[in-house]
Amino acid sequence: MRDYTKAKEIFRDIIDVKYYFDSIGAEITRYKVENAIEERNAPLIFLIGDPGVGKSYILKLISKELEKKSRSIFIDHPFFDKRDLLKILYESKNIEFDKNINFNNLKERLLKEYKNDKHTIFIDEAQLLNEEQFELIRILGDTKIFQFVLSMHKEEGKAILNKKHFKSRTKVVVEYEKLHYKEVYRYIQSTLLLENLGEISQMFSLRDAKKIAKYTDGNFRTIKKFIYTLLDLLEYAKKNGLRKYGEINNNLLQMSALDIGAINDR
Amino acid sequence: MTGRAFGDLEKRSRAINRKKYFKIFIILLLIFVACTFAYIEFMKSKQIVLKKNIFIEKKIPKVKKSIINTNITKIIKQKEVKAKIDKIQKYDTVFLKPTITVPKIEKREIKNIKVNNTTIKKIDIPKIEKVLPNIQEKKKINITVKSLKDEESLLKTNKANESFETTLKLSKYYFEKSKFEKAILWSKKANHFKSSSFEPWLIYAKAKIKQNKKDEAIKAIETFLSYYNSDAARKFLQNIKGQE
Repeated sequence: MRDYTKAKEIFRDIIDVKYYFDSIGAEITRYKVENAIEERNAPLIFLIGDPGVGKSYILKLISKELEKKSRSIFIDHPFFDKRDLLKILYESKNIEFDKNINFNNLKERLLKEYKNDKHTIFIDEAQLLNEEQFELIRILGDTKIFQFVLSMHKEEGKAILNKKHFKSRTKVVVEYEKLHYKEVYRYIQSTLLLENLGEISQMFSLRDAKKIAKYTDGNFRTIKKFIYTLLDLLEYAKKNGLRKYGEINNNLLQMSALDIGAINDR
Repeated sequence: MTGRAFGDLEKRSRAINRKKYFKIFIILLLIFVACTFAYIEFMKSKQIVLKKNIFIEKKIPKVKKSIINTNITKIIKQKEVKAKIDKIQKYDTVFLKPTITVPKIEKREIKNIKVNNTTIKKIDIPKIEKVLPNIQEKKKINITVKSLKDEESLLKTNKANESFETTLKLSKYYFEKSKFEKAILWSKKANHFKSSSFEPWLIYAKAKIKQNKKDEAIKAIETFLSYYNSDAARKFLQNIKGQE
């Protein structure tokens, strides 16, 4: 019995570490970041890559593991004011945050509280931070009390790294690569089998995975979107008795690519 | 997924496929046309080469050895005749137009000859016996020219109706007037009308003797005698030779 509805849910565009896929690229990135965090030589760790490759997944995964040791704070959205970062750090320690207090005093108190409790702060979509916020991160990083792991898009990330604040400082830069078609195939198989959807997993061939990788350019997020759309089409075909689309074929793959915008036919 | 959305995606997918197959078709067609064109050009160039070879071969056809031998003897004979003509021309008697009748060759003998360990077939062409016509001067043309007026009238007559008689009269007139060059010239013209007549030859030879060119006179008469049997010519020759 092919439960397309259940299969679709796995491939929704949400970050669920349960479905973390240990591709070669992901494992190398994870190893490098964890190593840098452990050594604490560099206060700033940059994780750069194209949008949707899986940076957030890695960040969240590592952050979850460090949480067990009460040493990490995960910020999945950038803050608008530099005080917001201090507020998050205060709240993490259950300390009352008074916004009326002078910024420097706030900062001084924060450093005192965290002096013997070194933390790693994960900030996702860090390319959205402004100059002032980057400056604060740099200052806090220099104290050696805080270590920052910043995930950002490749293009903006490289530009930020070239700025004077970071150029001269010790840092670790990890670049996350896209998936190879064989890894795409393995991802589909392992993810579906994890939810006991073996019948659906058998519908996918290596050739199909190659086509999917070509349409999606190996981008993790796009792959998930593609497979979600494909399963949606299969579900519709099954409901309406369209035998022609009972199995995965080139037409279905092409239709999925058209739907997600991977092919521009206009 | 709605039905409309599905239908729309299906249409778009079909349109993409149609474009793809059309592109493939065009590419295949272009490849086919290019290959055909290249093949035609190749065949054309091959034909040109063949034609050239055939042309060269035609120019140098294979000939049998026996035919080659026959041709060689023919060439030798032609050379002999040409040498004779050249001789005649050397002595300024090119105006001679002898007519010789060649007897028919009834039988040709084919002989096998060994030359350098190879056997060649030789066709023997029998010797042609010369049959010289007899010349008998029947009528002598007497001319007595007295004055310049005569010269003018002779020239006028000749101009009105040039013939052996008129040209011979002029030749004799100039000889009597000791204008030997003109006499020779007109004797040649007379000979054109009647090569078998000895008279123009006689005037020619006499004019040459007068010019102290006895050898040329002798050669001319001898040449005449080689074509024609003439007692008068023989006697004249004996006289000239006797005077040496």
